[in-house]
Amino acid sequence: MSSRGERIPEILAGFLTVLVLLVLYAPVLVSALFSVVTIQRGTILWETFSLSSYATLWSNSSVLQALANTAIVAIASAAAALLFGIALAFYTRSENAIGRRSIEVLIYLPFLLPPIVTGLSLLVTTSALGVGRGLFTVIIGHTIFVLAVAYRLVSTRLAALPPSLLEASADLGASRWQTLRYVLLPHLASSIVTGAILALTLSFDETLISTFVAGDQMTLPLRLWAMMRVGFTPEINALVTLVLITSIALALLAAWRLKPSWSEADSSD
Amino acid sequence: MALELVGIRKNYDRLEVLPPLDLSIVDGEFLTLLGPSGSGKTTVLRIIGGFARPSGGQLMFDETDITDLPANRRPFNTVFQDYALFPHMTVRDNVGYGPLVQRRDPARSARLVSETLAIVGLAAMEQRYPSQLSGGQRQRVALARAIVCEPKVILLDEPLAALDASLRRQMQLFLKDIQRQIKTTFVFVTHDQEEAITMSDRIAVMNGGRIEQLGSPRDLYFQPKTKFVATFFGDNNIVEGVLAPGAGEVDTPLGRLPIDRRGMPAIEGRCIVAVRPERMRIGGENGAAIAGQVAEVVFSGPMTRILVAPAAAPELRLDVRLSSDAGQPPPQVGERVTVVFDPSDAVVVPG
Amino acid sequence: MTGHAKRWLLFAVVAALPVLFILLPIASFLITSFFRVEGGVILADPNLSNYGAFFGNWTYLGTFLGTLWLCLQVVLLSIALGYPVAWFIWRRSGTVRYALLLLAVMPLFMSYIVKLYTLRAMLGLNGLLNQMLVGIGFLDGPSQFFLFNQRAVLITMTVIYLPFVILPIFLSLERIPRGLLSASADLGAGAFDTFRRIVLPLSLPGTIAGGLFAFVLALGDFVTPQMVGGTTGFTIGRVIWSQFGLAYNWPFGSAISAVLLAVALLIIGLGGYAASRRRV
Ligand SMILES: Nc1ncnc2c1ncn2[C@@H]1O[C@H](COP(=O)(O)OP(=O)(O)OP(=O)(O)O)[C@@H](O)[C@H]1O
Ligand SMILES: [Mg+2]
Repeated sequence: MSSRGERIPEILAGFLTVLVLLVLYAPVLVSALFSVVTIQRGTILWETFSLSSYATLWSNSSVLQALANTAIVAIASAAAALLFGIALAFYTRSENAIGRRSIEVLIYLPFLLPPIVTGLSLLVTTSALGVGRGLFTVIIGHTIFVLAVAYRLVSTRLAALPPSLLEASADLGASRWQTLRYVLLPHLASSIVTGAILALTLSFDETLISTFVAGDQMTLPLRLWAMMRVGFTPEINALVTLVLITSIALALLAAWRLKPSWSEADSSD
Repeated sequence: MALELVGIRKNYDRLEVLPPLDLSIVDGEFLTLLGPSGSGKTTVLRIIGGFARPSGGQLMFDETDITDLPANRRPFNTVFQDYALFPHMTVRDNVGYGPLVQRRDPARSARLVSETLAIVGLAAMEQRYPSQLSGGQRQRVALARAIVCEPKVILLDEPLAALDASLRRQMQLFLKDIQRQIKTTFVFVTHDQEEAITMSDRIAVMNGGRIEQLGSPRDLYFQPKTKFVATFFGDNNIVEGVLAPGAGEVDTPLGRLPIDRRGMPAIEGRCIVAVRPERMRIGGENGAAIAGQVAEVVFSGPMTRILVAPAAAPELRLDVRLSSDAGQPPPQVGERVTVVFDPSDAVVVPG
Repeated sequence: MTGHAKRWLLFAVVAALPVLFILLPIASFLITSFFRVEGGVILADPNLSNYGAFFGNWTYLGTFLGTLWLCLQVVLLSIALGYPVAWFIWRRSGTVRYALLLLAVMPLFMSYIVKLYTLRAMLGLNGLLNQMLVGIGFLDGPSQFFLFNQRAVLITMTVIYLPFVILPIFLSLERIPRGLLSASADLGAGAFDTFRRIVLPLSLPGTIAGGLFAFVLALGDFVTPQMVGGTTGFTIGRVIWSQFGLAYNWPFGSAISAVLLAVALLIIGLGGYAASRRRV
């Protein structure tokens, strides 16, 4: 029941939406194209189509090393962030926990502040403490960065749990441990899975904090950055495409998990 | 005739929600749409308000066709079920919104808004935000917002549903009072039959998208035309039977019951006999008599309810209401009694 | 042990992680900002010389103010583009709406460095943008207009941070009960009045939140200007980064970051205040 007054703005906004989406996706599409064909003076040379650049990637040991590092960092920091996120969410759940608000502010801080601040503050600290920089410090940096997301998801879910459920469980004779095992964890399961996917996605892509604390280790984004300073090669494009496919897959997974109810229930007349 | 629905239909895809429906709403009346959940009351109201487009038919107002007029150009205002107050505006701004967007004269509007706020008793709270009001107060803001533009028709969709029982009764009287003051047509939706009886000039009983019966509360109560109205509207003793053409008696599981055919439509074959509990007596002469045994006695303040299991069909229960201070003590459970009613109090509708 | 002591012990255990890994680092870089470097060694000799050097030298202060102005432009451009997009998506229904939202938000998760790389390729002399503009006859030949300058940083940051703006705007539009729009129309408001008086004010908190998010992210971004900014696209992020790299002056870099942090906190605080002023 859109009236006449809304038709024209709607058409204009529609145009803009298409345009914006094209601009947002052009980088993705273009790099995917560059990775398999050569483009000269604006014409695509289809006969140059080849997947060879993908093949050479597999023999590039520095890329493989960076990939392995990224996987280690992503998994370790997601696991750590979830573990701490759950513990912190349990703590801040109780209204009269000491320092509840301050702890929350601290948790959200690294997510809200420019990553450069988080990165350099970790750099300064590790150096002052004499801790060597490497994968371990990258894991710490990523953990505190994604902690906010993990904590947020778990604590929201926890808040949705009626306290009477826990009382009922205790009333039925469950020990605290059993309540945790049979009531709380199943209730939190979905938020934990979503949190893990989001944490992996964020860590996979994290660049700004990593540059400060990686030392001589390389994660995939850092490797890419280093390669790009050298120049454009089909090999980079191939790697870029692989990275994009991975992050799109992760993003789709996250979107599917977070899919809100309004997309199904929607009145239309 | 102020507002007229002519053959209005509504389909959602394949689903027919309203079969062609005709309804004439008289100027200045309080008309209630009453019906169970899903019977199409909101749909009718949304079509009148202009929020839903009918799939067919015409909507006439003062002899002009307004079917295609958008909601913002209809001289009707709505009190929404969830009030739909603008959360970012004060009470005063909420009420003043209509005159503002209709570009009415600001000075006159300001006066009008103040007057309306006074009518609904919210003058002292005009600077508050909706979140700072109680349910009943929000309800009044919604009403004030709807009446301030002096619409020709006010549409109310279960406006009292969210209120507790006592506040609800208070608001019923208040609404009725306002309507008397401003003399505007009210189209009111509810599924509470008691509320409908208390407030309405006329009631349209809806069922499955159809209007089963339209009439004054008295008509509907004492002269139901269909089985649905007889059962939906107030408590009733209902028994199925068969009526021979022209006969003065109905064959029922309780035996032959005499009825009074005067003023009744010509019915024959399967039918339903309905008698109001308060029109039944225990013992006494002249009238239809049914023998039975008292199954339960329930004291409920002014009335005492006696449930009688008829001897002919012990699985049924006759509901009899006696005044609690009738002088004699009520019968005891297990006592054998005769339930008597006047044939002219029995209503017969097609079954 | 008393219940009181127990609660404090629990607090100490739980707070250890955020204090150790979040608070302590911030504190230590703030402390470092008062130190100084001499002969490649950091001296713990508290003084205000770093701040004096920053505020007293127009090169730095000017770059900082320029960066703030750049971020503001990024925000305004993102909102100008993002609001209509979010509004359009909000007006759709069912699957189309969900698909469009997904499309608009997914770039959030796509590799930042990859986007930079391909945008640089597209904005360059032989890039897609130049080829298109030459192709449609808008330019006679490829132009250096779009790369290695402040403009390139603005375009690139806007593309990268736009989804951060679209999402909160959409979410705040989504939170407007549909009944309010019906009520507005019912009271006689046309499409424009309803938009101006109901939709816009109620979606303002989300718009502000999105804008501030983009602002803070752009403020600290040092990779984008480095990749596409060339010599003129200099931002404060790059200055800080160079202090931790080639220039090797951590205390000075920390001092500039401290100013950055203060601005970011101020902006986050303003955003929180704006969002909390919404009454529902
Ligand atoms: N948008 C829609 N799409 C499909 N079916 C609908 C839609 N809106 C209403 N209906 C159907 O139309 C019928 C009538 O709905 P309506 O809301 O008018 O009922 P109602 O009498 O107001 O009920 P209630 O007392 O529960 O408010 C219902 O069966 C409902 O399921
Ligand atoms: Mg309804």
